[in-house]
Amino acid sequence: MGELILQNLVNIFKLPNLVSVIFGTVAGIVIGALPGFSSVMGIAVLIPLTFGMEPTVGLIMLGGVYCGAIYGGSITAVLLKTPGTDANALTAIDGFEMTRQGRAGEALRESAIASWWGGMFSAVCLLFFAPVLSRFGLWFGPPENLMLAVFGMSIIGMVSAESLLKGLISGAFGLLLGTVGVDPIVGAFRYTFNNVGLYNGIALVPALIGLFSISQLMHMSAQKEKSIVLVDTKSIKRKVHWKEFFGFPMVYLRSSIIGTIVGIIPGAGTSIGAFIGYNEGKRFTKHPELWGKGSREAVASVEAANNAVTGGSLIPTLTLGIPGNAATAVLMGGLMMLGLTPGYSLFTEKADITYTFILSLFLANTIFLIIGLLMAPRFATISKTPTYILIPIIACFCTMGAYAINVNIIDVYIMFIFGIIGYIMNRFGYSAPPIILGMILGPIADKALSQTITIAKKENILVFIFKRPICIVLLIFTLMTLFYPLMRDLKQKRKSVNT
Amino acid sequence: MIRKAEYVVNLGIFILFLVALLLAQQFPKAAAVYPSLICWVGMALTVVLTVRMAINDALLQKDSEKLAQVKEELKSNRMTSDHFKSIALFLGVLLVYIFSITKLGYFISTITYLIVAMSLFKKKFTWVILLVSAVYPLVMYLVFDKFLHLVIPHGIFY
Repeated sequence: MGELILQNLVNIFKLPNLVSVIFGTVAGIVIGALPGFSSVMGIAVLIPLTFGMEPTVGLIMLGGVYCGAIYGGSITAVLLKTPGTDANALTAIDGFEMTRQGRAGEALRESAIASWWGGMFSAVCLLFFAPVLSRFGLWFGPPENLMLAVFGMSIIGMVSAESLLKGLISGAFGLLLGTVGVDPIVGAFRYTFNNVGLYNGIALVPALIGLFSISQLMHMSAQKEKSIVLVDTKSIKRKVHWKEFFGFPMVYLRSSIIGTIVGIIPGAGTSIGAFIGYNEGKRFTKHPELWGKGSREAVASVEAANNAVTGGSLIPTLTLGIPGNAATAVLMGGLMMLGLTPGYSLFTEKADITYTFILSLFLANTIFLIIGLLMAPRFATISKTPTYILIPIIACFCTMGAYAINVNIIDVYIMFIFGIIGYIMNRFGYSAPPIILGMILGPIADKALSQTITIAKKENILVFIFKRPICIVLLIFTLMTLFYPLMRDLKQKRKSVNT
Repeated sequence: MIRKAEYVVNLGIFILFLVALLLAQQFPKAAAVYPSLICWVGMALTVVLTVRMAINDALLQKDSEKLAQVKEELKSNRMTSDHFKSIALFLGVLLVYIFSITKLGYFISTITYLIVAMSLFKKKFTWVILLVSAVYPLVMYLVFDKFLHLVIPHGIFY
């Protein structure tokens, strides 16, 4: 393997490959930064461009788009509280708070560095352990997916801003929204009110844009703030220091492992990786009180996790032909159109193409890191733009993004309505992330529950689920996550009583 | 009642879950189980939250110092008519823009929206507004339509 890696390392630096990875990564960053335009759409749009190319060159470009898009989503999340993708929803909270505090440059640097760590870690796993790790994804059936969704929901306590109860209500609301559309088992229409636009459910990204971005614009309009930045500091123009690369080593490692594992699980996706990364980061941090109020560590935990999903999701895609998420499903389509069949042969007969592609991911991650660090001060100056210009421009940007997803004006109205809902909920202490979490996990839980009931037949469903070891492990994690905030509150209360 | 608005919001959420529960009864049994379960949980949580708020309020009534502090906090957070006007203005102009974008087309509606919205927020018309309103839609058009080949909203004027 070492010989193969060395041989193909030279391939990456051939001009067509180099140009391809740079173009792919830059296009990915632009695509990711546009709200409503995900890595899935980016890869799909650029596939036709690769038809005239050598398979290696084409594949490298698609890999660059995939890596760049996940990172790119964090730029608008930090600067405008408009997450480019659902995986950046939590970055929008702490990242934007940092921008408000005049620390936009710092937040952008951290998102680039953490994304790089996550991306590199998962690329290493893909390069060295792909065949071994791919088996892990096969252990996940409907009961495991159900428990994964339950574990995901237990995170609500951690992502709730003020009150756990309000967070749970928001989560239930999100789960309810996730049921809109066609039922996955019997095919019945639920809450569609005979509206064709709702048959596929409420689109997640317009809801996300509304909850985060439009509600923030409403707040800024009401407060008549002159710019996003509330205090003037010099951090915007500060250059990167090498120490920043090792700011949170444990966070990078933990979130990277989480992201890679989540990536391997088919259907889990980048957003779940990001939420779990945030949850675990908050659990182990020394300063949980700063999370949600502009914590650099929080940005690091989310960004390392969602970028680690990229390499992780490619493991089952390349080795077994089972895509880890929607983006890799499209990428697999591109792979097949270029005449490459996923599986064992990809690592033997087509090893030169495969290893060049995997090695190009390291380069793609490094390219977005360089771009991110170089451009951070320039991007950050956006936060100083007067609000009378910024508010209409962001509103316009959001409208276009929401429309672009399905080329459907109903999505724009959904964005508008969710903006109002988000604003009202924010004012009364209900936070937006649990709603998004519910909307992401709801359909997964719904489908997995129905499938588990079907598979279990006459056996007691709880017995059926908990005789599977992964389900027990996930249950333990769920209980730990559920009781941790309560234990922490109790500990703090005791501490304050003692003092 | 100290926090009337919060009670109203809680009631609104409870009614929402109740209506969703009633609607779920019309679905086939297999499709109704999951949303019904969510609605019951949502309603139960809302009741618990409201009861907890009521208990806290009752305890606050006994502590005049804390009560005054909470009332002061609520007063400072209260929305004024000026806040309402600004939000209504933002939402109103945005809604007209969303409505017009598929009727008049991308360019006309976006340029008009930007000029109107910026002038309203700035409270005067400047050359910067004109410049931004002319350049921004063009840049967005090039990125969305020419680079990414996305369908932008079309109307009678493109």
